[in-house]
Amino acid sequence: MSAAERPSPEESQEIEGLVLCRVGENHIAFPAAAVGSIDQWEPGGVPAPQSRVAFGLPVVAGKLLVRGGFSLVVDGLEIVTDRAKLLPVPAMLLGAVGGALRGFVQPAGSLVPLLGLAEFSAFVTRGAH
Amino acid sequence: MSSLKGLNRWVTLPSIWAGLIGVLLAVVYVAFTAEIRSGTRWQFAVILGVVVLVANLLGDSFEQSRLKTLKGLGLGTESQTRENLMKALVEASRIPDTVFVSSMAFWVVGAFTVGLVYSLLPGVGWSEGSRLAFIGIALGPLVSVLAHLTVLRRVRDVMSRIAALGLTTGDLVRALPADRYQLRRRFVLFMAVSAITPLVFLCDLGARTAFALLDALLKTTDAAAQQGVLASAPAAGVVPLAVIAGLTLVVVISCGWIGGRSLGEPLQLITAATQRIADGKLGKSTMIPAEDELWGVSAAFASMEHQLLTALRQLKDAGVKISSTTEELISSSLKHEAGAADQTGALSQTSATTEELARSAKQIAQNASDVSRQAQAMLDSAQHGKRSAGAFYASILRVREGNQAIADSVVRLNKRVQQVGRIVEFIDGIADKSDLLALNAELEGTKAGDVGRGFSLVAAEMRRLSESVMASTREINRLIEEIRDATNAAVMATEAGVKATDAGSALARQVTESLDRIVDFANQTSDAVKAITLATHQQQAGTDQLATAMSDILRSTQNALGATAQMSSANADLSTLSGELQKTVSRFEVAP
Repeated sequence: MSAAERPSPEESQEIEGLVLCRVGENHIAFPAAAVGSIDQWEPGGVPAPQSRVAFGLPVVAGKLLVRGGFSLVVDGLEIVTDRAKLLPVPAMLLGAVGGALRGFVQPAGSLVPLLGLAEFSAFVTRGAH
Repeated sequence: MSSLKGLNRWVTLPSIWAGLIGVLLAVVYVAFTAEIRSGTRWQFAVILGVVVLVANLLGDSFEQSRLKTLKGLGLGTESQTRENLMKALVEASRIPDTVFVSSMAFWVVGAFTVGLVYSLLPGVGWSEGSRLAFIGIALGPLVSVLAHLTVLRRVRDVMSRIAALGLTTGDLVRALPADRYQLRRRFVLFMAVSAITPLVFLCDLGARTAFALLDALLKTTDAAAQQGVLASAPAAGVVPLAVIAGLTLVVVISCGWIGGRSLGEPLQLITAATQRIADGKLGKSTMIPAEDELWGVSAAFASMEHQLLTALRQLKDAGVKISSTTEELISSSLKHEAGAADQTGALSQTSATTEELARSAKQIAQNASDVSRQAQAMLDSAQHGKRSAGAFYASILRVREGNQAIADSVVRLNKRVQQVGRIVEFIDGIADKSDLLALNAELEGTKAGDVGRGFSLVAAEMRRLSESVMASTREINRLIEEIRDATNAAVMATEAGVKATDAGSALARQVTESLDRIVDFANQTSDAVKAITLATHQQQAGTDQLATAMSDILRSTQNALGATAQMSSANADLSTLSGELQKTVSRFEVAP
């Protein structure tokens, strides 16, 4: 999603299908359409960007989200099939998280950031380096 | 120079003087009896001188030949050994008899020779010669007795000198055994000679006077001449008779005087020695020379003095020893009495202690019997314990076998649980993959939008099932882990149990062995206690005997104490007697 695709603060959009991921005590969400497949990842397996790095947590086993040439390892996840209201990104946060932040969703009442998988994967990879 | 030098000749010298006296008597008798024919006196004197000289030389030679040892001792050719001194003593003791015999023989032979030679002179017949021989032979015994007696006194002197050179009384008695008692025979002989010789001469003189008167009467023819012969006859015979009788009497009295002295001197010496002994003066035993019975008396007296001297010396020594010994005995008796008193006291205590010991021995015997019964009870208990330990050991072995079976079962269970774990792990893997597949299916269904909503719901339901399976497998894994821990704990517990039962069985075995040894020891102890019981009973019997013996010893010691007191009293009496003995013995002056 490009910057033009991001909703403006005055307008809100809905998004259908979320992949709600858990990283430690934190939650992040990806659009279901942004995830190609889900696989199991174990430490020592195929090298993959670790979402726990972004939170300063140690690496543990988890689920590997794969789309195209990008991948990301999270602790766990669940699929949210319901439509969810996408809250816009405040202007001051437009460049945050390497530009991966797309907005915020409230799948279970709590506010969860919606991230682009490729950007966040790249961000995590850069952060790892 | 030897003190015996010349004694051999000195002792026989009186025999020559006696012979010369006899010759003088014979010459006087011949002169008075006018036996010598006129004109032949010088020839007679020569013949008599030659015969006397030869007889004396031969007699002296004969006598000296019987004194060879004495002569050798005097000259120093013989050593003054005890044997030689005893031999010289014997020779000297025999010389008086030798002198008597030789004097007698030479007088007889000499008188016969003088008569024979004189009868061969021209104009002299055998009748004159035989008269001379008769006169000589008649004087022979008297002269021999005189020689014997005179030599005898010197012999005693010589014997005293020889004895003084070192012969003891015993030597004298051995050399001159007092077994020849000839005093009566000698006395009779001497008396006969002393009596017969004067009678012979008086008879001969009377006969000669009578024959001369008869011849004178026969030669006269008238009565007046015969009256004149008869009137002159008594006057002519008185002088010769008186001279001859006087001389003979002198000789006889001399013999008697010498003989009396010979008999009296030893008796006087013995009397003096006896008086000396009676006065308590005992010196070296003296030898009083004598002959025959007198020698027996002298020897017996000397032996008696020697024995008395020895006895007194021994008595004196014994008195001193008895005195010192008695003092020691008194001291010893006093000590012994004190010791006996102490011993009696100690024995009284010992007897009391022994009686106490007997009571203790009895108590010990009773205790030993109790100990024996207890030892038997201990033996029974030990045997019972041995049987129980054997049963316990068997139980421990069974427990060990059970534990080992449990351990084996637990190990097998653990293996099964591990197999189950692997199956559950396999299921979990499948569930995990199913979950992942369901998750991707739900993702795909979600991406499909409303079309895939139902698919997503099914996928979600499958995912929940998978997660449920995974939860179940996790629960199963947890249970398996618990079972594994439990089985591991059970394995460890059973191993510990096996080890414990091993240790228990080892201990049970040790206990069994120990109980075996205890039973053996208990057996030995029981036997030993039985032996001790027997010994203590024997000891009790022995102690009773000891107590009885101690009582006997105490009584004996008390009796001994009384006897010791009596012995002390007796020793005091003995000491008094010893003092009196020493006092009595001290009256005698015993030469060392």
